[in-house]
Amino acid sequence: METMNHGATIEQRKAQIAKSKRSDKIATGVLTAIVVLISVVLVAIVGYIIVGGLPHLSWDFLTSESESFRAGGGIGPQIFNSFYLLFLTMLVSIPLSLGAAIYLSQYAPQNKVTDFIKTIIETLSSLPSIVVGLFGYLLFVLYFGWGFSILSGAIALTMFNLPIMVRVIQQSLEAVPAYQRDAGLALGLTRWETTLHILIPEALAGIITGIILSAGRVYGEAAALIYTAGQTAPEIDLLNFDLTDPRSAWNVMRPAETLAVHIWKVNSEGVIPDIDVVAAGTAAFLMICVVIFNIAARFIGGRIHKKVTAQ
Amino acid sequence: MSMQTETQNKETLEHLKDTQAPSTYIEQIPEGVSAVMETQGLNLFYNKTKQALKDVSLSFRRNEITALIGPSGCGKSTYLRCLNLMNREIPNCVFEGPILYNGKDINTKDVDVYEVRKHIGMVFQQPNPFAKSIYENIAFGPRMHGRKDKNYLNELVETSLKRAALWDEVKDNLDKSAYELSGGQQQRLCIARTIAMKPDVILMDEPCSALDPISTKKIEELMNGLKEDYTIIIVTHNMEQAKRVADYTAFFYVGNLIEYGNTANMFSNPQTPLLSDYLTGRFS
Ligand SMILES: Nc1ncnc2c1ncn2[C@@H]1O[C@H](COP(=O)(O)OP(=O)(O)O)[C@@H](O)[C@H]1O
Ligand SMILES: [Mg+2]
Repeated sequence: METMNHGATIEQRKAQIAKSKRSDKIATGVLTAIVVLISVVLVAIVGYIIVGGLPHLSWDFLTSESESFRAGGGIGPQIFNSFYLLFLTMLVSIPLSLGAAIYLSQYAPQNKVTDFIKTIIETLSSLPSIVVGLFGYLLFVLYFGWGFSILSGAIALTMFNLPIMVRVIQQSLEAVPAYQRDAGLALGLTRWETTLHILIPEALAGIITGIILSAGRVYGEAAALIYTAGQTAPEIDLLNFDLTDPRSAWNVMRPAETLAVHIWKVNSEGVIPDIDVVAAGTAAFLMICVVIFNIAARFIGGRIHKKVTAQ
Repeated sequence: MSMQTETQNKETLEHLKDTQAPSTYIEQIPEGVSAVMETQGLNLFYNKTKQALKDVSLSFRRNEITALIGPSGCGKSTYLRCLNLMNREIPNCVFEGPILYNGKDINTKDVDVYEVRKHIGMVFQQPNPFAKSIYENIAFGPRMHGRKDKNYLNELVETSLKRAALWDEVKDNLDKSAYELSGGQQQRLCIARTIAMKPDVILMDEPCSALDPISTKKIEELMNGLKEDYTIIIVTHNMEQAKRVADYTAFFYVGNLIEYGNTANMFSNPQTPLLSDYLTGRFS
């Protein structure tokens, strides 16, 4: 009888192959089912929120002030507040996290102190946002006396956001092979030039994805803001650029309820008769915004990556 | 490899660690022949304690190709990375002893390493073009060093690619990503990138070990042409390659320079027992 390498007959080997083909099919089936299940659940949630809220979205709803007691209020100021807070948070977070990530991945000495700092950042990135919110309340709102304000909210959001952004950017930079850095240094470039012109362009896709994902998180965040940016959305004037005027939209010392906080507040302590309508409409709008940013920013990220890498 | 030779190998290693001076044979450069680079009693320690180079004194003749050979882990790459001070980028790597470039010691505290690396270029084992277009890969270095003139750069890209025997293959696609090239083409692009800096010396660390035989042959051929203008120091684990391309060869063993001389002489008539054992395959 002919034997194979390990002493098995051809028949045995054939049976073995048939068996492993069968398990391969089963594994593929199971994994596909899991992915389909997850997608169905996600699509169902997103669909339910958008379909349920879409009928309530009107130009009037999106632009008018919210009501405290009567039906028919809108979410105009909340939309502005959400974007303004997102913008301010990113304005502070992006340069800080880029700087920290570049330092940690390229300059920090490899020692226990650096390892310790990296561990702290990892721990902070899983800090519950309500803890960040209450910490911000004690420190910014009360101790610094900033009150419920955009400033308190933006700094709390930055604290919440920074560790994750640092980690994601650091990981994208570390994923660029070391021989790319060596190539730059061997051409007589400094570390800084190498980082700026070789490593960052190559890591850009990952960096942009990280920024988008954390922007989505910041935009939809409620717990960190309830006790920092506050739960009221006073009437605001977009054309008033007097930054000390409490009615100016741009004044960072005024309280600013965001969309996510609005949903929470309407549901938990709202006394308006149309709670369901307002909550569903706001949730749908929030969801649509997050979906749009993700798609748009991914597209932009892809274009930038293509441009800088010629790929 | 039989059990016996393996044990012998170990013994030789132990022996080398114990005695400071294994039998060596270093051919001296005659008076009047110019050495572009030279190390004098170079010692190197990784992690401040692990010695990887022991008292290496070696000169490189101008416009010649010198091969560094020896078993893997003997310190060839480590030595090469001293010559353009790349080892300064490795934390806790300490190396001491004069490294002369055109007679001037560059292994000093106040040397401008960026200036040194403009004159002493390097090609790596793994082809490592930048994630940029073919054109940018070459123009990038000179531009970073202040050459902004478009016409100058266009011409530089063309001449560098021609010297690296890549021009004909890429001249219509200079805007394409370097990553779309084959491994062999990428390595020639890296050589072109190094040439574009107009260096004096080109260091190559096993530039063909990741390539197929045809690409290897192309690179060996172009090295011969480069000799007219540059001094080349190439690390290779391939003794046939050393025989084919190198005018002079240096043989390293566990951090020691064991033998140096004219390539043909060294391979036909090794002077030290270690080299002759290595050439006959007693260890590898
Ligand atoms: N960055 C490093 N840190 C510590 N040890 C190293 C480092 N690089 C190389 N070595 C050690 O130094 C010795 C020489 O390595 P290397 O120069 O790479 O040898 P070769 O190029 O001849 O194969 C080896 O024992 C290797 O393990
Ligand atoms: Mg090596």
